[in-house]
Amino acid sequence: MLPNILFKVISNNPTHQQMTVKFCRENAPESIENYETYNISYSNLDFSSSNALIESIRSVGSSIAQQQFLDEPILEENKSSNDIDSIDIEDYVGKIVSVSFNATKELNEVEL
Amino acid sequence: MAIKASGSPLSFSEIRTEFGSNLGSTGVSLGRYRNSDSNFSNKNVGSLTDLPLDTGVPKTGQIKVSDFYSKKLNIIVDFYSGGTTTRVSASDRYGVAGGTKVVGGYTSRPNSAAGKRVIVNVNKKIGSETGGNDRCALRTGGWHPNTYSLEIEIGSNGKIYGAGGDGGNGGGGSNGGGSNGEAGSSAIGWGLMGNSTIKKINNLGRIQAGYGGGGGGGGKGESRKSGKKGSKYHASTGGGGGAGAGYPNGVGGNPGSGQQNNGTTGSAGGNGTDQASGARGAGGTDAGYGGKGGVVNNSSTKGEDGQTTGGPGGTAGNNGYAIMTAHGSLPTITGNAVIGRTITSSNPQ
Repeated sequence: MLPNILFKVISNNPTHQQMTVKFCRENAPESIENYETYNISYSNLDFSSSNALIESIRSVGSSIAQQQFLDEPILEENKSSNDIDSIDIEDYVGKIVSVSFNATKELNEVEL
Repeated sequence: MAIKASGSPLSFSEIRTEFGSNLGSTGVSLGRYRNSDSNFSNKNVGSLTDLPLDTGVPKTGQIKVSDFYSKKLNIIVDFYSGGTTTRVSASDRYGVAGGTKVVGGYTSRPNSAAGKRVIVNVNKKIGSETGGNDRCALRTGGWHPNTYSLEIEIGSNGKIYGAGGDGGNGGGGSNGGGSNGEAGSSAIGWGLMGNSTIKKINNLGRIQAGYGGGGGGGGKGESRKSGKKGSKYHASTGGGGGAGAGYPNGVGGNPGSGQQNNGTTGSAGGNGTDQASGARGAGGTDAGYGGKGGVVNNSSTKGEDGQTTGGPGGTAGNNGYAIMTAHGSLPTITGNAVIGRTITSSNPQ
């Protein structure tokens, strides 16, 4: 389950048919005020109902919030040690190992 | 030339030659050189008030010949009257009829400013133009090499801005690249002043660089399989770059064109205002955002590049300068700090 996306309209400019909005995900590590402001043209929004309007703002913001997630810095404390080439658990104790979120190899079958 | 320094007797005719006669056609009354005298004019000019004939000349009370040693005619260049303007030169304005006021009002503006104190009074908005960082809103222009001093006095209503750069346009849907942002330009351009040793700016208003526009965001297009049907090409366009702050205001870049199927069109970048740069233009789905205009402070050097996705983001425009000078050091600045970077040994235009 992915967290909700938050948005906050910062300004509205009917003359230029634009508004400025900040986005972040609900569990962002910082206040939404600290995130960048984006200009959105009215032409990208659906004013047919409030739900449609919010959904159209969401559709603009989802890739922005995703990018924020990907751009988040790695804490110094979370930086991993060098790769460990060992099957001895003792070699892993106290070390931080970084692995891809997705599986990269087929697991070997283990007979119980 | 200014009146000689002390060391030998000073005659009334020397005072008259510098400041003009103030009693009949050729007479001199020392008392009338005090700014409290009813015959004294141009003591309140633009944002400047209670101006003496020259620094150190008494305004009231006793006045004597020795008060005039080393004194010089003060001439005010008018950038306080009229409305907002762009791209002006102080030396050009000096040469225009009605472009100056002589403090005291007992003589007319000399053709040459050699030995004179020139005060450029700005108390209105002056903007620049885009076309390069070196384009300045207010240039000092060309002066006689022996001009005693050139001082720029900016009143509280004086605002000198470099022009804001436009944002770059977003990239097209088929992984098109964003276009580059435009450079901002500069506020004050101080040319070479020959032997003049005094160069001062008293800033009670605002001196601000023009900031660069952000680059356009890259477009994004890709074929995606949709069930048993064949693949479809979905294309989103990049957002426009935000414009830079300054006057004239920069305009935000347009989004790219060429949206296809489930892709979406990006948004335009935000327009700039005199004092704030425009925001990033949001990209279409998975496409790049346009970079924001240069952040208004003294450390930023350019706007933000557009985001690269399928297509490359455009490069942001560089910021202009609050002050460009051809000299090796900046003029003395008092009052409010300038907003934006500065540069010496340059070639302001």
